Amino acid sequence: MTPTIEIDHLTKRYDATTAVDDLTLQVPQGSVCGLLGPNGSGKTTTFKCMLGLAQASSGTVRFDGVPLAPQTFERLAYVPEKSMLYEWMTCAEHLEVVRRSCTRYDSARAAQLMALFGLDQRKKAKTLSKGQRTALMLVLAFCTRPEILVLDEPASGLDPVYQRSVLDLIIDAAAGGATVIFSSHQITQVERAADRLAIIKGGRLILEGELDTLKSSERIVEAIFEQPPVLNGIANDPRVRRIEQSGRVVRVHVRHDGEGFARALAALGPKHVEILDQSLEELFLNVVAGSAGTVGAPS
Amino acid sequence: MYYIEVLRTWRVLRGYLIALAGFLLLVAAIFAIWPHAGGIDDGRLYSAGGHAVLVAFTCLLFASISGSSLSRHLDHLDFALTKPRARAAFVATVLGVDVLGLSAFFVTTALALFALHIVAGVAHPLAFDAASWFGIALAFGSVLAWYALVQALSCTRAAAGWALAGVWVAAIGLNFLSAAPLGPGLHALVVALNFINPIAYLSTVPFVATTGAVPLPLSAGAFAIYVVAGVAALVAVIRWQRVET
Repeated sequence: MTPTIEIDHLTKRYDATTAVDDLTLQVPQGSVCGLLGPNGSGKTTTFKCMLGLAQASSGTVRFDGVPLAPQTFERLAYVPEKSMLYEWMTCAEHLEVVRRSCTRYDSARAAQLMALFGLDQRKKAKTLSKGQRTALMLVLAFCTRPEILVLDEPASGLDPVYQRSVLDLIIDAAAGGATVIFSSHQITQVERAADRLAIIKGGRLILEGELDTLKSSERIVEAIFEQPPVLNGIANDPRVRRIEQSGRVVRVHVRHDGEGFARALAALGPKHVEILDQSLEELFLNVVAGSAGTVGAPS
Repeated sequence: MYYIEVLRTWRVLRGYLIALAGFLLLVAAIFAIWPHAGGIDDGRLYSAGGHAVLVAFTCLLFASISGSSLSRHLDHLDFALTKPRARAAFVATVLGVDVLGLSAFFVTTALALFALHIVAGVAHPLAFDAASWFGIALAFGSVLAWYALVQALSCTRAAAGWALAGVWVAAIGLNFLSAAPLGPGLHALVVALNFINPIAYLSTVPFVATTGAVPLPLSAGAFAIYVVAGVAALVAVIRWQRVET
């Protein structure tokens, strides 16, 4: 089946700087893909190249197998990282622009979303707070019930209540068949809303796949000893990815076979051994700090 | 996106109409308090083309404002260019609405000038002969050319102020230099540059002091200025295709 979003060897260079480097990524229909990466890793540039706002140096982007065309925006909505609203225009006037531009505009949905975020249609954009501007951009994106959503830090500047509303909107859209790709610095947001994950660093994709598969690809075996142990030999175990030791407590990041490694560790006589799931934050930090991971689940 | 342009143009036009009405009322009040001895109606016919040039000079100010309309979208591209419309159509819409707006400014200013003459009691008959019609066409063409030149210079830069200031200084300077005692080579260069200078064309219309800045007959000038406007607009369209956020 053709993926809804298909990025193929995308590269974007600005003079000597390579902002996006040979990035290949696919998002299937109905998926929510969380795009994570440190500041300046190329997330926003990737989005801009996808949407024709920046010209890719090489590579292609396809939506349902077709390159981006003006008509793609009938069913695609974008929320940029920074406010792009016209300061002198009111919320209602912004909605009117969308109504006149997109045949899929749903006025009832727009009113519902305006109420959800507590926005006043008569207010000019320049009088809105940062969070309200983000909220208005979300309203403008979701009011057309788009099939594809590209969201760059969609919850930026929003309070926790509205952040949750945004995640609910994303999950709701995906449940209705929409395909979503969104970036966020808040890993918990990605963990809650996304079913797929892509991590980029320095413009390169360093990890990509289904979130559950990626998280289960590495386990943490935690052992507590009576005395600080001597861990000779453990580091050489091919299953071991990383060892953290703090006094009597040892945490070993293990690829795949957590149970087998826990048995091996138990032979050293710890008081207690436990196998823990890896959190997305740990996965992110491991991958970004190491950057040794290959694209796909860590092997 | 024509809705944004219509909103923007209407707001400027509305402000202008209010200012004009206020100005005419002020003039009427002054003449009511200090009745004048009569107009300067000397029975001569005055060229409507010449009046159009006066109107055009006023409209150049609005052309400078409208001429940076593409530039003013640069901070909003992520919103403006993610709608189901091609970039070329976007530019065509912006230019189209702006030209309609400039037409409205031109007509409004012309009517206000007549109204001012009536209020001030200096109304005089206008000649609408062939030369006058060419003069009117050239005056409006100069406004369009000015608009298109500013658009071509400013459309890829968010801070367009430099383009506005630069065009004014260059255009007035070139027009004056055409009458300055320069060497033949420099004079030829100034004359050549004045072919794309809307102010230089305005100075060739009868009723305005002729400087000879553009060595063309009125009819040819009226044609040439629209070519200048068209080419400058085309440059703006091409440059806009390459704009990135």
